[in-house]
Amino acid sequence: MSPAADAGALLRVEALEIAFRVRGGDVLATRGVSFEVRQGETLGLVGESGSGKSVLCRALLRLLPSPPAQIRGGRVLFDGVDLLALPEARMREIRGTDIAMVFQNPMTSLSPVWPIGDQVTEGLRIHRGLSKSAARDRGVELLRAIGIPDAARRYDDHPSQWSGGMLQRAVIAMAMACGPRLLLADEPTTALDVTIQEQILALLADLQAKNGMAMVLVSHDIGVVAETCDRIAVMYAGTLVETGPAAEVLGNPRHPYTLGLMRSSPRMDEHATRLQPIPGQPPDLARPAPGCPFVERCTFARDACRHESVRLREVAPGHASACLFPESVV
Amino acid sequence: MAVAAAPLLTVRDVHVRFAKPRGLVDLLLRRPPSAVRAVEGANLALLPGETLGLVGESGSGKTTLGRAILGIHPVAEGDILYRGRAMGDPMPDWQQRLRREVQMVFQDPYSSLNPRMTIAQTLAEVLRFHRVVPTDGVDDEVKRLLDVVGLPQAMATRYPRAMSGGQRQRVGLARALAVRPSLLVLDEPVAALDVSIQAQILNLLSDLREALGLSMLFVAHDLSVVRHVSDRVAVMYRGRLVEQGTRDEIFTAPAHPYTRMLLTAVPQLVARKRARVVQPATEMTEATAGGCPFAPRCPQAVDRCRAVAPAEVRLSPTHIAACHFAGG
Ligand SMILES: Nc1ncnc2c1ncn2[C@@H]1O[C@H](COP(=O)(O)OP(=O)(O)OP(=O)(O)O)[C@@H](O)[C@H]1O
Ligand SMILES: Nc1ncnc2c1ncn2[C@@H]1O[C@H](COP(=O)(O)OP(=O)(O)OP(=O)(O)O)[C@@H](O)[C@H]1O
Ligand code: SF4
Ligand code: SF4
Ligand SMILES: [Mg+2]
Ligand SMILES: [Mg+2]
Repeated sequence: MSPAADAGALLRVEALEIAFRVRGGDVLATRGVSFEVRQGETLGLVGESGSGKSVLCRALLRLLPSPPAQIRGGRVLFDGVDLLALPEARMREIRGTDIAMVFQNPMTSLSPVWPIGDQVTEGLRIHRGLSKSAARDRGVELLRAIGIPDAARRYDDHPSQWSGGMLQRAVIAMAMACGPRLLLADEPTTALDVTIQEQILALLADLQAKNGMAMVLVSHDIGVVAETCDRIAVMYAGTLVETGPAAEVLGNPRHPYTLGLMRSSPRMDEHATRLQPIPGQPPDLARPAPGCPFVERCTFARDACRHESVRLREVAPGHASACLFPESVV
Repeated sequence: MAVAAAPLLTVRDVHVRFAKPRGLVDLLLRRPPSAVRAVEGANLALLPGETLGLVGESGSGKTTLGRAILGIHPVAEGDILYRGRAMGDPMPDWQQRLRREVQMVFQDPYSSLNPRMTIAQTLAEVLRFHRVVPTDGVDDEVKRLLDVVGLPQAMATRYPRAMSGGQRQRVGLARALAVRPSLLVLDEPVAALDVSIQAQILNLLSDLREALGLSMLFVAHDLSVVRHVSDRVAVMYRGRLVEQGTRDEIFTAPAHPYTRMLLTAVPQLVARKRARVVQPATEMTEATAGGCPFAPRCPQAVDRCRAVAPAEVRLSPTHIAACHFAGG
């Protein structure tokens, strides 16, 4: 890759390998994953359930408990600095200010015993030096912006008093509070109705336009990804199988797995009695086999797919597929 | 076969409230103790073999209503009947029977699974407790259940913390299906699944419904999923059911402005990055003071909406909406 191509990459992940020790061997959660995200850009990370999306996001922030997790190789460059090599104290600072994460399960980042409002504004008090009352004012404003009714009164509620989607929004408000340069958002809108989802995505887009915030958006909702992302990376069995501009990847998929995903979505414009899932099961991540990880389920598979090693290769400018026969995918 | 089937589940004018502990501010301002009115006057009926989709605003009371049906939250007013009999009926063995026949798949799969039990142990416990299969068949049944929800057998010995979000969600589903329920309340059961596994699960549910006459209350935000699974759809806003109708009535002739707003906001599958506009935050109060709960956001609101709560308007034998302007 030419140096010019990297200009502006805020986050650059290189050949990241993550494994978990479990009974009966090691689970390879990601294998040689590489991608980059530029300032102001949104990368959509989609893919199979259990393919390593959440593990990947946590690894970038060094939040995986070790053991059982182990980073076996690779680099995570943020603004040119390898996060994996930083002392923990510096990393903690970065987590509070430069990079924020919205976890798939909101209770990962909320304590059950504290008022929600105080938790949302904790970063503002610690990292931005706001007084308690200034933080409260800002906090109420944030809760109002994310559509919490009666925001001032519900500021002091505890998490058990909020619905799933309200907690999800609280965590987004918490992540946005300090104006991060990079946001890792793991399924941030699954529990929101489409009108509130729209409002939340608008708030995020606003932060991107104003502060140049970059975002990695993990989502199973292809519609959300299609309307929000500049580029898409598709993950399967711990590897990236296709990357490229959103319109290219969704409009002209060059990997059979991506194509299968598009075909299994229920659609608003037609009513099918039966949906078309991809047949078969993903491979066992504890027993990686040579060849293409999708081979057992692929309708395009040939002999070569069983032993030849696959890697992302460009099929069009900026569009890459890990299929050995991308031209036959239609 | 012209006999109308008796409903399996009847929810009649149900209210659920949560007392709000008074915070310091409330004490200082001498505010009286208040309650969150999570569900206000809900009415629904579910026939055997029928699927009712429940959609609505986040925080509108869908989970609370589902949990009230399971008897997890007490009902402040109103009745919930299962097979025509009150949930709280003192008949011998009734509670035991309800515990088996009525199951729920919880929205948050993590907090509903025991972190100290492996997946196989969790499933085996339910199978033994309800004596679903003979003791020597438990292991095989656990294997079958994992298969049915598309989890590899290697997951059997895992603990919930060592699984992805979607893997946990499928364990919750396997546990609910284990006892072969008649009524299933599913709270966002496919939200954490990729569309291929989602398709597999939705096909599975439709098979179970054909084979066993399973009835479902299906809570979801994804309208394309709701449209796919539901015979009828109910729409909830701020604790109230604001519209109910058949799938086609709701999706092709929505009568409530909130339902219409939902349908126009559905993201399309065509990749086109959209410029989004932040709407100014409207202070949405819970105390709607008698008016329509949707009035602060409703594009059609007039003065009357803020003063008088709309009554339910019947638009067809199956279609009702609570809006002053429903039906013209
Ligand atoms: N602590 C752990 N020990 C062993 N395996 C683990 C652990 N945590 C995660 N895994 C495995 O690593 C793989 C990747 O998990 P991850 O949570 O990243 O999936 P995901 O892509 O986010 O899936 P989903 O869409 O379902 O959330 C999964 O197969 C999971 O079972
Ligand atoms: N245990 C509780 N104590 C106090 N208030 C509660 C409790 N559980 C729910 N609530 C409140 O009741 C209302 C309805 O919550 P519920 O969880 O039923 O919403 P929901 O429709 O399921 O929302 P979502 O789509 O976000 O999951 C919310 O205002 C919530 O804050
Ligand atoms: S490499 Fe072969 S098996 Fe893999 S996706 Fe391409 S055609 Fe299918
Ligand atoms: S009653 Fe008025 S405010 Fe309520 S939904 Fe109808 S038009 Fe809108
Ligand atoms: Mg995940
Ligand atoms: Mg809920």
